[in-house]
Amino acid sequence: MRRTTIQLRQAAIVLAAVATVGLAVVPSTRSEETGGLQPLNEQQWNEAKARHLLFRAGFGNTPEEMARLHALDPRQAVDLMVDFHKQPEPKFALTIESPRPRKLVIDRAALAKLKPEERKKRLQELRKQQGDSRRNEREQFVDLREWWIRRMVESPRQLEEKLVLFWHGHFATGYRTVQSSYAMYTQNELFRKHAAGNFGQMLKGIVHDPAMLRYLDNDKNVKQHPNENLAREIMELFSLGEGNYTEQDIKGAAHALTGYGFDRRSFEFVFRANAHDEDEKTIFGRTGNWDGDDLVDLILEQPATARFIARKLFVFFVHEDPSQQTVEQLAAVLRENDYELAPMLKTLFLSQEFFAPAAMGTQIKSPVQLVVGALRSLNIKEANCTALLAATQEMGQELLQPPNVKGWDGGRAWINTNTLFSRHNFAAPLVTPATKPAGQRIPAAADVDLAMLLEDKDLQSAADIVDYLTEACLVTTISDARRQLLIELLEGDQPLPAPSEWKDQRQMVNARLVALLVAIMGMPEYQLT
Amino acid sequence: MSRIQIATRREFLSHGLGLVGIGAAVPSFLIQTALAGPQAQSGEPILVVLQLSGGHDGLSAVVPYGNDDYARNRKQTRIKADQVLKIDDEIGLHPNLSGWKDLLDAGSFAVVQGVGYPNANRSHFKSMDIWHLADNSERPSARYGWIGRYCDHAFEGDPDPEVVMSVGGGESPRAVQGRKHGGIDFRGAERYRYMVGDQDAQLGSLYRTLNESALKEKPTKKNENLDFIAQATVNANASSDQIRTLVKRTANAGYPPTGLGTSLRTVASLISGGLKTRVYYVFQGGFDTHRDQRARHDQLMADLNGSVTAFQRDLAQQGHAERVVTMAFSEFGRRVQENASQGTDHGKAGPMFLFGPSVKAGVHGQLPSLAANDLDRGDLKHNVDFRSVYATLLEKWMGTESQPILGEKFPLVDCIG
Repeated sequence: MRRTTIQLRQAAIVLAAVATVGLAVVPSTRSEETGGLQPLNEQQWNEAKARHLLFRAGFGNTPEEMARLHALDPRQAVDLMVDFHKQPEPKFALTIESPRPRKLVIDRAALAKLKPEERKKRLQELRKQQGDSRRNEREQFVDLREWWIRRMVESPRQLEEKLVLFWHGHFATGYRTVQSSYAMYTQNELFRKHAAGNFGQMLKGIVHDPAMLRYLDNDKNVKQHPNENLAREIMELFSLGEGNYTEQDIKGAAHALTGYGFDRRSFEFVFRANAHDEDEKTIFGRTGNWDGDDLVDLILEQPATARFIARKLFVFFVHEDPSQQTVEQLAAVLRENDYELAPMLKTLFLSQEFFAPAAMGTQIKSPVQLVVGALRSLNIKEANCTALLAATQEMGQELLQPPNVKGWDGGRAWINTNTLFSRHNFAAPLVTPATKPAGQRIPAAADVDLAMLLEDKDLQSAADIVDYLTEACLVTTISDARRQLLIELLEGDQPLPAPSEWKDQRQMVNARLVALLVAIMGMPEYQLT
Repeated sequence: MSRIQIATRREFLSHGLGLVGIGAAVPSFLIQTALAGPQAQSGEPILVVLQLSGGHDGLSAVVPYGNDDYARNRKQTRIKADQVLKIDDEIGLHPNLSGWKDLLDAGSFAVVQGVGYPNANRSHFKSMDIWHLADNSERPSARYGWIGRYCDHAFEGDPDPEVVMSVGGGESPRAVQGRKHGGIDFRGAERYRYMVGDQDAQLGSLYRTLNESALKEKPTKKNENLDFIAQATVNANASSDQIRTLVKRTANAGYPPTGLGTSLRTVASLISGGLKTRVYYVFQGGFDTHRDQRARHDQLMADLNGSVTAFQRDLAQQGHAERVVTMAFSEFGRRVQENASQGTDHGKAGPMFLFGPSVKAGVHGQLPSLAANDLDRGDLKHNVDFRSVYATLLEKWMGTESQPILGEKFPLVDCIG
C-alpha cells in the first residue's frame, strides 16, 4: 500500500518560477474607453482597486490587508499576488492512502475446503475488511475536501488556491464516478503544481491523470473499441472550444489516446501498449502515428487553444463579456510565452479593463467564493470546514463533484430563488447558535466573536462600526438611506457602549454586532464581488 | 428591466401569489405573502416538462423487439421479445414501464417516435441548449429559452414570476429564462425560506426592506447583476410561505421516494392548491449510460414509471388530470450500436413521451430505420423536428400562436386532443 503523508509539500512549484518573465508588450492598438489591456497607472490606483484585486485574485481579505496592498504600487501589488510561490509554503496536514477500497473477492474454491464454521468466520472477516476499507475511503474523502477548503480560507498564497478552483472547474472531474479520494487528491495537486505555471504541461498532465481517465472512460478506450469521451471533451471543453475541430479530429484524437489508462489498484497512470493503436491517425489535417502526448502538442499549435483559455480566464477573473480584441491580445501573450500563464495573468490583473466599472463589483460570487470570503473578510481562522462545505453544496457548488464535465456555468446561473435562500441562510446559524428550531440543521461555519475582532479597531460610534463592516464585506458602496437602516439596527433602543466597555457586556454587544453582520450578509450587494 | 418590474408592482401585488400589501405599521414597500387561500384559476391548461438528462437510450424504452438490426447491434444491452410489454408486432415498452402501459391502454400516454433536429450535435451541453432555446435564428430573443419566450409572449405586462416554476433541479433551466420572466426555482419546499426571519422577526423584515430598497434606488452606476439579485430575492420571499403551506397539505399518494417522485408530488400539490402556474419543470438525471447500461437503465425506468404513474393517479384523484399534459424529452438518443463497455454512446434522434387524458394516446410518427445504410454516422435520423412537438403543445394545448415563440412555422403533430 502506498502512503503519502503531506506535512509540507516538497515538490516545489518549479514551473511557476518562470513567472518572473517580464510582462509581454501589449499592442497599443487598443484605444477604447476602458483602456483595454493597457496597464493601470499609479494615479488610478486606490483602495477600492486594491480591494478588487484582493477579492478577485483571491477570496477576499480584511480592510487592513487592503490598506497594505494599496501602499504598494499597482505593479508590485499584482506581482505579489501572481508570484505567490515566493511566499512560504503553507502547511496543511493531510494523510492520503492509496488504493481505493478493494472489491470483495471470494475464493470459492478455497472456501469450499474449509469446515462450515471456519467458512462462516472467514466470510465475516472478508466482509469486515471490505467494510473498513469503504469506511476509510469515505473518511479520507471528507478529509480531502476539508483540507482543500481550509487551504482556501487560510493560505496566504490566495491566487494559487483561486486558480486551483478555476482549473477544477475547467477540467471538471467528479468523485462519484472516480470513486477514489487518492486520485482526486493527485489531480488537485496537478492543478496546484501548474496553477499559474504552464498550460501545456497541465494539459499533458491531464491526459495522464487517473481521475480524468476514469471520469471520461478513457480506461475503456482501446484500439479495438475506441471510446471518444475524453477525446471529445479535451477539444470541446478543455482546449479548443466548440466549432474549432471536426468529428474527424475527435476520431483521430480518440485513437491517439487509446491505451492511456491507469492501474485499478494503485490508481497510477499506465500506458497499455497492447491497447494502443499504432496506425496512422489524422488530426487537424496532419497524419502520423500520434499518441496522447502528440495530441496535446497538436492542440497547443492551434491558435484557438490560446484564445479559448485566455477567454475563460478573463471571464473567471474579470467579467463575462470580453471583446474579441482583448481575447486576441491575451491569447497572444499566452502564445508568446509558450503557454506560461503568469505573464498573461499579470497583464490581465494590471489592465485598465480589469479595473473598469464593468468589472468592479459586478461579479456574482460563486458559493465557494461566498463562504470562504465571508471568513476571510473578518479574519476568522477557526472555521468549521464541514459546515462550509455543506453550505456551498446547498448553494449549488459541491467541491470535487461538479454537475458534469462542463463544470459550473457561473454568473447568473448560480442564482435562482432557491439558491438565494441558501445563500442568505448561510448567516442564519449566527443569529441564535445555541438553539436549532425544527427543520434547521445548519451548523455554524465559525464561532464569530465580533466584539473581540472589532474592539481594538478604534471604532467610536455605531456609524464607524457599520462603515468598517460594510467595507470589509461589500465591494460596492451603499446609499446613505440604507446605511442609516444598518446604524439604526445596531443602535437599537439605546446607544452601543464604547469599545472600552465591551468587556463587561460582551454578550449583549456581540448579539447586536452579529445582527448587523447578518443584515449585511442578506443585502443583494453581498452576493457580488 | 427590474425597474420596469417595480413600476408595475401594483399589478404584481394584485395578481401574484395572493399577495397583499399590509398596513402602515411596516414600510409600504415591504411585501408580505398572504397565507389565505390562493386565487384559484381553474381550467387553465398546465404543461409539465420532464427533462431526462444525459441522453436517453430511447431504444431501451420503446423497444423495437422484432427488429433484426436492433438485435444485431445490441448484444449486451438488448431487451428481448419475451420481456417487453408489447404495443404491437414491432415495438414494446421496457418491462419496468407497466404503469405506462396501463396509461396507454387507458388513453393517457403517447409516444412520438424519431424526434430530433437537423445537424444534430452530440455534445450534451450544446444539444441541451438547442432543446432549451429552440431557436437557431439570430434574433435577439433567441438567447432566451422557449418557455421563457412563451411567458414573455403570453403574459406580456404580467411580471408574475410564478407563471413558470422549476422544481427539484440544482440549476435553473435555460428553457424557462425569458426576457421578463425568470420563474421560481426550488429544490425542496421545506427549506425554501429565509431562516433568519424565523428567529428574529426584526432582521427578517429588515432583510426584505434592504432588498426592496436596492431595487428602488437609482444608483449613479448601473449594476445589472445587483438588480437581478434583488429582484430574485423579492420573488423568492413572495412565493416562499405559500408554496410551503400548499406542499404541507397533501399526503404521499404512492410516489416513490426518489428525486423525481418528490418533485412530481410537489407539483401535484401546487396544482391542487390552485397556483396559477402554467408551466412546471422537473428533472431526472443519470441517462448518460456509457457503461453497464442495462442495470442502470432498468432502475431509471422503474423510477420514471412509478413517479409518472403516481402523478397521473394523484392528479386524477384531485380532479386536475384533464388540465395537465406532461411532456418528457432528452437532449439526444444514443448510438444504435452498443459500445464495448456494455453501454451506448451519444447518438441523435429518440422518442418523446406525452402523458395525460388530453393527449391522443398511441404511437405517433415512425421509428427511424436501424439499417446500417440508413443511419447518420451510426445514429438514428430524425423524422419529427422537436419544435413540431413544441409548436403542437403551444397551439393545441396552451392556446397560443407558436410562430412568434419558435421563430418559424413548424408542422404540427396530431398528438393532442
